[in-house]
Amino acid sequence: MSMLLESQRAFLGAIFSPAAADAAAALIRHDGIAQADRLQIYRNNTFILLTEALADTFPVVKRLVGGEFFDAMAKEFIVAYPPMSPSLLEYGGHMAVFMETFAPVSGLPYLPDVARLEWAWTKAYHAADAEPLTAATLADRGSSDLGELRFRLHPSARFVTSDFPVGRIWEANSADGEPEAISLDDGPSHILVIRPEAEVQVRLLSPAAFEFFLSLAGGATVAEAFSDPDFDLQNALAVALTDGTFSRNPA
Amino acid sequence: MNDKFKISLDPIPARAGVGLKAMHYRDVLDGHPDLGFFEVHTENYMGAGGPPHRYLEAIRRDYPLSMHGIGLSLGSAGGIDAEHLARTKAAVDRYQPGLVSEHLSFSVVDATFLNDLVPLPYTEETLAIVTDNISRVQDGLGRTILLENPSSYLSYHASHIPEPEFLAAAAERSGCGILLDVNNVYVSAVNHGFDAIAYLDAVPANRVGEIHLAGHHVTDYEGQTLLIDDHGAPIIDAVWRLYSYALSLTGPVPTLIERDSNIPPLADLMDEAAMADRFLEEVAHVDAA
Repeated sequence: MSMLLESQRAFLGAIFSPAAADAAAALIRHDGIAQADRLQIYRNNTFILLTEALADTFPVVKRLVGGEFFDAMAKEFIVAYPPMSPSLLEYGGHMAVFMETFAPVSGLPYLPDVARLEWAWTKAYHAADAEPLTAATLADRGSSDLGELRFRLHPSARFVTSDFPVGRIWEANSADGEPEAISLDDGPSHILVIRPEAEVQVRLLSPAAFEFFLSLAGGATVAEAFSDPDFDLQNALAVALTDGTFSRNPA
Repeated sequence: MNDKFKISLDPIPARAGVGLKAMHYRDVLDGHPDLGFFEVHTENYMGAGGPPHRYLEAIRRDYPLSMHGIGLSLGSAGGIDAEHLARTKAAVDRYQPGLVSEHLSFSVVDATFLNDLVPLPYTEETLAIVTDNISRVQDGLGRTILLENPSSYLSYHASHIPEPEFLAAAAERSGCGILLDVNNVYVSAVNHGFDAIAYLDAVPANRVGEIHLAGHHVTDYEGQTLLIDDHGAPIIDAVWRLYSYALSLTGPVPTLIERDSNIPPLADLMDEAAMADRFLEEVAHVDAA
């Protein structure tokens, strides 16, 4: 094996398992400062910078559990799921899965869904841009039968569901949120996260609206997606054509 | 290319620029500060769309741009990650920066990303790997890059090529230029006990296409000083003096004020940029005389 590869693997081992740092320590000079201290500087850099990246992606989770707890949890997360890409925009997608088996947060059953919602927010933030479809553009196309239409959702659209009121938990704990009393029995959440322009929106939908837009996103026609007779289809479409839910590019 | 996004591949002028931070986007667009260029971390613009691109596209219309990568890991024994090279190429194609740079270090081992710039043992084997990796990147991007000297807190028993000679050899063999980080020279000179002036003398001045300046953090290990390159403080006088000496060797080159933590108001960075501009003007007069 290449000497360089061997030394880089030893270094990697030293960063993620301090107990296995001997192989790396043997490669480096003392020069007045213990090898273990020198390696610790690099270990700190890796963990501190990755923890900051996770805190940027999961600010509401951090607010819910507190900064000290979040940092300790992030350390465990980084060891379990180190970044496998130098693009940190991709880092953190496993947070919800990690939390589901992370015993110290087992008393907060809604927390993994908050992480899912924040991950959806980040994905929406960096998603491709697209011109929204407006009612005028739709009319220009001279479409005849509304039921046969297929709409393409804006490329930033992400769907999140939860058995808990995580949409309201997220709102109350986001940077400009107002504290409010929320009971975990307040029911499930059906959320569309979308960024038609510059701002990411977290839209709390009715179950019927959620199912409708989810079906459209899956390629269904309006007639196919419309299943709940109590759902106000005309109104939902009218709103969607003003709030940038659909992409101008035809499906 | 999108026709609302007209830009030219203008070269970076031999003036001071500032590292562009999200918290300064609005100040830049509203105040239009007089700066030679902006530099960004390429990795921050690898998303498909969204606000970061909106801001950078707007700023790019008015300023030359330098893209500085932190993830290609030119020193990885495992080679260059093809996906990350493709992401870098997409960003470079999108913004057509005047300069593209990366580090003489590694940050990826067996696909795991350390999010830090780790120094290399300077051996013939490492030189061959680094040269191959730079060539791969330059072939992939279709342009030459600048290679930045690292700051470091450790050195290897195996190292036997002095760092400036290693940089020179990698540049000579791959055809790349050099990004001379004067603060990194200062930090590593203190940490490893070498002479910073001798280091600058050994760097091939004609290959230096850009200079970086930053502040650092001073720590102490049982009486031994160790400098940490956190880009979190103003540039110290000793680094300004080294900068002046470096310019006497290189002549005027684009100079970046780098700040990545404890980020102050843009005006503070503008003051440091103005200081660098004064050094650049002085050396331009000396060159002209």
